[in-house]
Amino acid sequence: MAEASTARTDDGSGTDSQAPKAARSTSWLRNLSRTNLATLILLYITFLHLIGLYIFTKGFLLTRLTIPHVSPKYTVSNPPPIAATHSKAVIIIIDALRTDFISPHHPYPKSSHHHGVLTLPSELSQSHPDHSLIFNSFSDPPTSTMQRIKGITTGSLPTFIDISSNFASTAIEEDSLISQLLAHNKTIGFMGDDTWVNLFPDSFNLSHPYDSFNVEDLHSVDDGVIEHIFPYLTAANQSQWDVLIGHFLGVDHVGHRVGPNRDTMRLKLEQMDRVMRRIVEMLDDETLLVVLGDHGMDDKGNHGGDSELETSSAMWLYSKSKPLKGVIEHDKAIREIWPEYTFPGSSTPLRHINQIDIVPTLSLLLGVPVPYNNLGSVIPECFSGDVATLEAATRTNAEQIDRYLGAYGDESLKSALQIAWKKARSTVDSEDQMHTSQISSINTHRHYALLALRHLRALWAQFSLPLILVGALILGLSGVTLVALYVGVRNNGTNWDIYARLALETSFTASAIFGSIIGTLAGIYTASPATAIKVFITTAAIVSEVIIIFPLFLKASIPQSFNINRYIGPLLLVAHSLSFASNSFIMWEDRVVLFLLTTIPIIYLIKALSAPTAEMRLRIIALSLAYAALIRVIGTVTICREEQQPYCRVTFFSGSTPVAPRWVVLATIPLALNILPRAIGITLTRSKSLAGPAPFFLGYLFRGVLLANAAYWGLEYLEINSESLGLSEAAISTASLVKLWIARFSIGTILGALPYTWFISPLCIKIGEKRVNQETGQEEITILGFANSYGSTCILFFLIPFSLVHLTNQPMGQLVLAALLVSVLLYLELVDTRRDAIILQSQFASSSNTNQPAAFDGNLDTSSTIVRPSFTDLVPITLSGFLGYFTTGHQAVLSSIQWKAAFVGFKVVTYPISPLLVIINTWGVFALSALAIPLLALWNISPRPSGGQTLILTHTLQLILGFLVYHTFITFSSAITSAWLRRHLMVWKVFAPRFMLSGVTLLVVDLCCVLALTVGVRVTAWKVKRTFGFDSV
Amino acid sequence: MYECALSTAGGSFLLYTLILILGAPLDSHHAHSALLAVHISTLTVWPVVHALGVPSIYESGTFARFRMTRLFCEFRPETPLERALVYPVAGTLLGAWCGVIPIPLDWDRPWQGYPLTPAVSSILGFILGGFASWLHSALLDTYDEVQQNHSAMAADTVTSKKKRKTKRTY
Repeated sequence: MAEASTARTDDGSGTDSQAPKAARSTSWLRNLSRTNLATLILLYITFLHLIGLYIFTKGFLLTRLTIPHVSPKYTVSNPPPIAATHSKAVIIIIDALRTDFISPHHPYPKSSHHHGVLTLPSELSQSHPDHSLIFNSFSDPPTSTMQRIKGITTGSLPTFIDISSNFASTAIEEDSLISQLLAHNKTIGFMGDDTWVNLFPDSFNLSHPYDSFNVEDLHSVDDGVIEHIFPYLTAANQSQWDVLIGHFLGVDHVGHRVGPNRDTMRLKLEQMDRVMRRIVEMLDDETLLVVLGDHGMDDKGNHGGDSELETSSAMWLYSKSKPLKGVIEHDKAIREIWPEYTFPGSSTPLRHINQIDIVPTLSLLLGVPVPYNNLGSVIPECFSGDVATLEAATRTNAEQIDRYLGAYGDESLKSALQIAWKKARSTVDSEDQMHTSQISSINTHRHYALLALRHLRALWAQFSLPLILVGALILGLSGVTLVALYVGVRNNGTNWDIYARLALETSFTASAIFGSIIGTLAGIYTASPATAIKVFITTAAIVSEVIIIFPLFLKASIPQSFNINRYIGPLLLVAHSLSFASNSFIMWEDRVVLFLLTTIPIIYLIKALSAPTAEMRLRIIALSLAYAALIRVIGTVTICREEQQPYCRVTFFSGSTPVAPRWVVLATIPLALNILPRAIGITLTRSKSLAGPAPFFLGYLFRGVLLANAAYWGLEYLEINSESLGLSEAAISTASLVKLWIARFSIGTILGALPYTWFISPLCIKIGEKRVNQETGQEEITILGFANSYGSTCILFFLIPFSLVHLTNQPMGQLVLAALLVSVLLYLELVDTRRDAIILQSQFASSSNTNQPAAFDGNLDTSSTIVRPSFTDLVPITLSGFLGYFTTGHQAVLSSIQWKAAFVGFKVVTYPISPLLVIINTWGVFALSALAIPLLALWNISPRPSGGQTLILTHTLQLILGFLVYHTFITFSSAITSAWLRRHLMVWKVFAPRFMLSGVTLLVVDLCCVLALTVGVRVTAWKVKRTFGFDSV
Repeated sequence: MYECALSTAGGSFLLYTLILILGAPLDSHHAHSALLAVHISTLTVWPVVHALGVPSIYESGTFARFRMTRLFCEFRPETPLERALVYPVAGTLLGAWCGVIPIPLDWDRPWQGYPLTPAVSSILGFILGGFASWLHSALLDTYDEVQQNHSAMAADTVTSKKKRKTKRTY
């Protein structure tokens, strides 16, 4: 390979050796140095990823701005539009109560298990039609309990991400029915599903939450509600509360466990019927009873999606003394636009409302303002006493929605609703109190409210398929582009720059031309410059990708021999990518990654016996076993996802538990003091490169920083456990001050002293004694550490970001990081030994003495040849990044973010440093895996003494491209699976979070690869050139 | 027999380690893992040792050791018998590796429990490996036979021509 290339001048530009055809042009691309060219490739790839992810995300991740405004309180000067009808309310939520469970019109065929069991609502509707109203209510998908509770308290629509000011909490910060009730001094009692308490942490004066998670347990939540609700309803205790909320979970749990068509369901509904009867019996005249299902359930008893059975939930309103329904209900002109709904299989229609309609209705009935964000429209029946009341209610409702839309500030939305709003206002402006104008006011305002809801549903709840497809296309093609570049760089060896210049130049030119043409056309067609620019960028990205991919299909060849080493890497990538198609595999990805990762050293172990010398065989066996075992031990550390229960035990200590048990905190100190610096030292000693700056760097700087990092979390532990340890107040405040400054010292050293020392210090080599060669009479000097002069310098660079990640991780995470670093060192040695074995084998093959292998033991020069790295070589490092993510206490769920990291070195949240620290904590291990990739190309590769070139840059670029291939396909796979399964039950719980994780990861590793190349490898190569004068190409 | 049993036991121990490394629970299911290891070892180690024996570690065993390395490390069987030995072993290991796939799926079926799926799929792999070895050898034989026929026919015509020529000269 190396012989084929011509000698190069020292300027490193490489222009002189180009093929004659290429030399004709004088474009800027040709004048870039090789390092800059490699950086340009990576920046180009980053650009593609950014474009692809941006477009995809825009189409897929539905977001909504939450507006913190609150509807003004009703006072004497701001009186309610209509008088409150009830002063108290009992709101009963029976989880997963589907419409047909309480409907008087049973669908055909009737199921004896859930039809006609909970009969109280239909009985009362029969006997007191004006006091008891049954509706079919439409629950907006996703039909999961938390989203629905948000819906029935704020009156808004759920989206995946509610962008609000506080990103750390699940609590509802918008205006809601609950906050309005509290503002009007109403006392709220709550019992049941603890999701409510997470959403409204300090709102309930009387609170009896029960764990909602255990689906196996059918009764304890219900029993808890029953135990607490009846005492409140007794006459003596009626004055203690104004609103009671009870949330029964039993029906839902029965559905999940056995489905709706079992006896268990009948028994559960019978129990609910008994409870309802008792509640109705105990109600006083002032109280309104609302019974509703937060969502329905499908045939199998599951929910979460948007199917008809899941979105139709029951709603029942009952008032003992005051009638709910008035006379004008029979007025045809009003009734006209009240929709009806026929449940599947049933023949008689039922009144149909949106579930969120309960929010404005309840607000006005109880005499509190409608919450600011509400999008529901009042249930007209409840205000049908006379026309004026209904008009006032509907108008107030529409005005509130208009206020909200004004604050939301979406121009296209405003223009779409302008006509309806003007029409509605014209009926008010006429000042005409005639019956007909009031009726038209009711109808137009109602129409406006419903239209607004429809538009916002489209805005928030509908995916944009074209954007998803274009984004996925760019992302997928960028993966293939990377494969093409990888193959190009690999096959061209030292001449990779000629290939890369040609490929980039062609693709940039073509994409600029096509992009301009199509962008201009689009601009002319739509007459909007913004569209023209967007179309230009999109087209340019796609065209440039296609141009680079094209040669891949020209030279496609089927390999002749099967070699498991060569195929296992790509095979693992395929397996890992395919696993994203199932929610189970995503939930268990930590174990999947462990399985895939340990497969590689096991294959090395099996193949070890074919190595040529006994020493190598033993070394490979020992190293691969040690590597696999260490990885397995690291893999035991986990913070379990809730879905992994009961098959998972939490071994990463964080969150609500103390930082860590004492032994973990204590273990980090000796680790920082001795074990970790020494492990690196021992590894470097093997190549005699614990020389030059290395002892000082490792022994003082690195050790000191690690010690500070460990001490920080040690003090944090003392502070948290101060009570059980019996520390005095003064000691605690001292500890917190010392802790703060230790972290600041550590950050300062990591960002200042470490990089500076690394940058100015020479290579890690030692000049041995001078000796006179007896034969030639020339003076010779031995240089210790020469063979690993690249690797030893580069690993010192790697330790700088490592220390930073180390600081942001809790003690358990620090243990894992240390183990991962040791595993990387083991792996580097393993790869080096295997490389030597391959060189020896090829020398066997080429030598004539193949019959006497024993003659080759020892005395073999393995340093002169460099084996081309393979894709499989980089897979373990890549997978270590994934494994490290999971074992440092993260999972692909939002709740696993370690907010504690935000306060390292700061007392309060400080922008932008605190979010940055959280990002370093979360994506640190991925970033480290990217920064470790060049080590594979550099480890134990000695500079070529004979004026030759060391293929450092070529191999680094090849490996980085391979690494990005892996991450791009992972991201692409998680993107298309989450888009494909966008109507799946688990999409917002499993698929979308996984996509968000891999999307950010991709950008992080892109940037870290650029960093590794431009700083790590470039400075290392520059140091080697300065010392020995050898080029690294 | 004694040799076979001993090396199967040794193989079980090694496989047990590998099963644990690949992610079998460290704190439970020890008997399950151990039995799976014995099962796979019986499928892989026993037939091989029965057929080839354990190579001597001394000079006399050099050839046998090289053959073992060639067969099981480099996966390069050369004769139909060697293929019949190597393919089921590879099939068993591959089958056991792929057999873990159904375990995490949320179907809640009793047969998904560890270690049923790797055990069953290792047997399937063993059977499929046997078929593959037979198929490979049969195809190679057929190919060789066709080639031989072809060259024999070609040789036939050449020799007959030569005979005719020689007849003429005589």
